[in-house]
Parts: sequence; C-alpha cells; structure tokens
Amino acid sequence: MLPVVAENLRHAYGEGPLRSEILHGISFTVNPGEITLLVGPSGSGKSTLLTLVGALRSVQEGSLRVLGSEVRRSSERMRVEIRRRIGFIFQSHNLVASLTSLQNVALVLQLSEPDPERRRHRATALLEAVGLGHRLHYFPSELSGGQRQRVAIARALAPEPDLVLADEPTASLDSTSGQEVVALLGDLCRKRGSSVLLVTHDLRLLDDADRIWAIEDGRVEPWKGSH
Amino acid sequence: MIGRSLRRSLGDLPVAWLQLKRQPIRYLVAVTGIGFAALLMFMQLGFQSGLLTSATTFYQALITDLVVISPGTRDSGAFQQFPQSQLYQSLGVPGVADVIPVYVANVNAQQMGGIKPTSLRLIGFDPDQQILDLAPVREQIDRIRTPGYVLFDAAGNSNTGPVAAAVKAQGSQTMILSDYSKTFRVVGLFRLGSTFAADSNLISSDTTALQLAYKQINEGEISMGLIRVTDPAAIAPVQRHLRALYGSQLQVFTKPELIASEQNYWNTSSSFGIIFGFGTIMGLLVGGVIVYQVLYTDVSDHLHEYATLKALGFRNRFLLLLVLQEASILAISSFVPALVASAALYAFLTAVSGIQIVMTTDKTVLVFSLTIGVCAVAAAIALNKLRDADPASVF
Repeated sequence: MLPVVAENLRHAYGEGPLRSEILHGISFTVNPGEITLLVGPSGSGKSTLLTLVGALRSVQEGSLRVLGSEVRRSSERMRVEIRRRIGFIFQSHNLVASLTSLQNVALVLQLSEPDPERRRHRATALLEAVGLGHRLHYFPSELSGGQRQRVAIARALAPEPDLVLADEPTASLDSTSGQEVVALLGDLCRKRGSSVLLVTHDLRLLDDADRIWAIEDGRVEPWKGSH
Repeated sequence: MIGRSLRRSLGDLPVAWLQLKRQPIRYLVAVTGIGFAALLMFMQLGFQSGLLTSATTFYQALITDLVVISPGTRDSGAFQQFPQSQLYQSLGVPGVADVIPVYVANVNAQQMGGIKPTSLRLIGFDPDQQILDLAPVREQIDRIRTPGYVLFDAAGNSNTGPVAAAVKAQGSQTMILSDYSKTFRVVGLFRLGSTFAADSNLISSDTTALQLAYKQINEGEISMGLIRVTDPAAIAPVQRHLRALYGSQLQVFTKPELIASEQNYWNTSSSFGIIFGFGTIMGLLVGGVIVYQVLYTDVSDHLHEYATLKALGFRNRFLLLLVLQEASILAISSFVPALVASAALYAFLTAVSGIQIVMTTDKTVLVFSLTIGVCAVAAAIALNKLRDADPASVF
C-alpha cells in the first residue's frame, strides 16, 4: 500500500469572483519507507498540500488516499483517525510551552498508550534516541532551536506513525543543526520503516531524499534540477 | 481530599494545572479576583443570615405556644400596641392555660462613657412569669422586681459603651435615657444579641417598662401576648379558635409561624433582603466576568498550541475538558482562601456588631456551588473561542 496517492488534486480558497485556485490537478505518490522531498518556493502551494495530506482539511476535488483512507468526503472523525497515524513536524516545532520535553512527548502517547508508566518509559527512550536524555525536564523555552526540533521529532515518532509529515523542519535552524535534525529523522524513520514527506526549500537536504518532487504554481512534477 | 480527587481527574499529566502554573502572576490575579467575588458572596450571605438571626433571636427564646400581635406590627423592631383586654378574651377559649402580656419598645439611652445615644430594645413582662428560655434571665428574674432595675444584654454591640464590664466589676451600673428624663440601674447580664434596629436589649418588669418607655407604651396596651395551652395537641384548635375570635383585629401565630413571618418580612418586604440578595448576585457576576476573562485570554494565548494538538489527533473533547479543568482549578483554589478569610471576617464582625454571623455548612456549600457554577458557565462561554483553533492553520 502506498502511504500517499494523490490524483488530480485541486484546491481553491474563496468563492465567486474571489476564488483563487492554489493546487491545479496535482498527482503524486509517496512510497513506503522512503524519504520523499517536496521542494518549491514560497507561495507554491506546499502548505496547502501538506494540510490536505495531513487530513487537516477536506479535499475539494480529485482523490487523495492517505494510509489507505480516502480523504475526500471523509468525516471529521475519520480525518482525526488518519491524523493519529501520522507524525507531524512543524516549521517552528509547535511544542506546548507549559510542558517539559518529556511531557510533550508523553502527551501525544495518551492517544495510543493507556498505561502512564509505559508512556513515560517510551517518551524517555525516544528523547534519548534524539540525544536529549539529559534534557527530559527542560521546558521548550530552556532549549535551543535544534533541541526543540529534536523534541518535535521525538513527539512525531512517539505514536509509531506509518507516515511522517515535516514542514520546513530546518527553517529556524542553522545549517549544521538543520542537517543533523534531518539526518536524525531519516535514520529513525528508516529503522522503523516509516515514510516521510518533507516539504522544504532547503536544497542542502536533497542528498537525504529517496525521491524528490517539485511543486511550483500549484503543480507537482518529479524534480529535474541539479545541485 | 479535594486535591487528591482533582489530581485523579487531571490524570498523570495535569495539562490544565501545568498551563495555569506556567503563568503564576496571571494565576494569582485570577485566584485573587475569583476569591474576592466568593468573599463578596460570603459577606452578603453572612449579613443576610445575621439579619435574619438577629431579627428572630428574641422570638426563638420565647417560651410560648401561641403569640398574639397587632396586624400593624411589621417586625420585631417596631411593635404596634393593642388592648390588653383583647388578650384576656382568649382565656375563655377551651385549651388556653395561661396568657402573658409583654411590652416591647425601643428606648434611647446615653452611651456609657460617651456622648452618643444608644438604641435599646426594652422587653417588659410580669417577673412572676418566665417568658424567655435564657438561664441568666431565669436566675436573675427577682432582681428586676425593683422598679427601675433592668437586666442588660451583654451580647449587644459596642455602641452601648462598656456597660457589661462595669456590671461585672461593680455589680450594677446606672444609665440614663438620652432625653435625661429617667435613669435606670443595670443589675444583671444576659446574652441575646443586637439587631439591625437596636444596639442591645434590656429586660425589665412590666412596671419598669411602662416607666421607661412612657412615650411609646401605655398601661393597658401591650405589644404582644403569649398564650400557653394545656396540651401541645391543643395548639392548632386553639389557634383556629382564636383566629375566629379576633378576626382581622389581631394576628395569632404559632412560634415557628412567627419566626417564619419575621424572616419573610426581612427577606422580601424590607429593602435589606433585596440589597443583600443583589449583593450576592453582584459577587456572582464579578466572579463570572473574571473567570471568563482569564479563560478567554488563556484560550486565546494557547490557540496555536490547541490547533497543534488537534492536528496531532486530539479531539475537541480533550480541549473542552482542559478548559473546564482550568475553570475547576481556579474555582477550588480561589474558594479555599475566600472561605478562611470569610470565617475570620465573620468572627470579627460578630465581635464588633453583636450580630451573630456564623459560617455554616449551608453557606459553604452554597458559595462553593455558586463559585463552581459561575466558573463552569464562564468556561462554557470561553469555549466558543476554541472553535478558532483550526488545525489547518499550523502549517
């Protein structure tokens, strides 16, 4: 089963004369266990595409199957179920400020693991895996940008997702930290066979990808560029 | 115990509490504000119950089966006189064992050791009769047989001056009416409590009462009549009989009816009950506005985090519970200090005013329920803001 299959996907904002189409019949796939990069400039429709693949909004036209479920005409309940099988990594980490690293990861595990002790154990193991075993009880405000993004990776991988969606995960990091974070994400996902769809305009990450799609003006095609 | 149950309901990761704790100043301001609102409610309810208690303490102490008063008597602070002969008519009713005329009047005396007048409720009756279920009155009743001798209520407020202390030290204390027309000697003490109308109470013989309150009461015209029946089972038939006898000329109450009528007057007919009730509602509204403001700001500040949690697969129910938990934590942590502060203020006001304001389980449960209720309503309104937490906005 392909984790993501988009066919002739269209999406527009506004209505009537204010209607503006952002995605113009996009078709692409993400293969199991691969790291897929989606590269493109600002305003190309990357974020809209991610919200659709992440089942964060309903599909207007075309077909989008995520982890075997059709997102078009899906209920909010079903979209929540899809989201629970996806790991999300955001551009600015989006950690809960009042929770420590350990609590941020453990919180997400509440959705899948009923035993608090197991949640704590698993969250600790994940944070150790991303090199933050010594920062378990630090709040996001007490961590560097790279460390926060590592916590975000641990949080995304906590529910053992089949698909990880990452939106510009290196945008707020310096080049060294950015490459470390993406390498870490790649390693962890390959180990457990999770697919990754990583949206970026950071061309230094191209070497880490198994497949690259380019998005421009709301259209997606295999990347033909060089670096 | 509350803390343990709250912790259980919050689970092993009490996000609501952690969010509140993260901003201690805002939390403190919220707790202070809601606590003040709870204190306001406690004080209003305290004043209201103090008013009702003080207004009915005299009636509570009466040893009687039935009470006859004039229809013109509104409350225990302003008696309308009626002919004593009318009371004696009841002696002809089967089942009536005894009737006792009682004089009640407000007299102004000079404050002891000061220059201000003090208002005293004077209760006069035949010293051969025991009409009050108060041990000190029973024991000292013979002292008031001498004209001009009275017993003084030591539970009154401080406006009277140190009369009780002087009586304890010297055995008696002479006082003078504020128009300097008559003097009287305090020869003993008892405890009843002041009212909103009088600083303290005096108990005297009917003869002394007629002398001291000569401007308000006349011989042969009494304030109330106490009727004792031969058998408790005869109370209802005697009351029916007397009502038929007196018609609209006099009112005939059982003791509980008299107390209820007095409370009803203060609660509904007088402006006091309305004012205190309004004060309680104001406290409730102030608390509600504060909780709403705090929760609304909190939800607004965390909107991006809530949208993230929705994106991660948390349902709306989780976020609703989170906000309700915050409201509950605010309510509980505000209520406890408000309860302690109110109990201290009650004690202080009782000592200063002589009006018994007591912290009761009823009041505690009522204010706690109102505080929780207003927090829940405020949370429910603030929850509308949660709709703005759009998971699609996180990318």
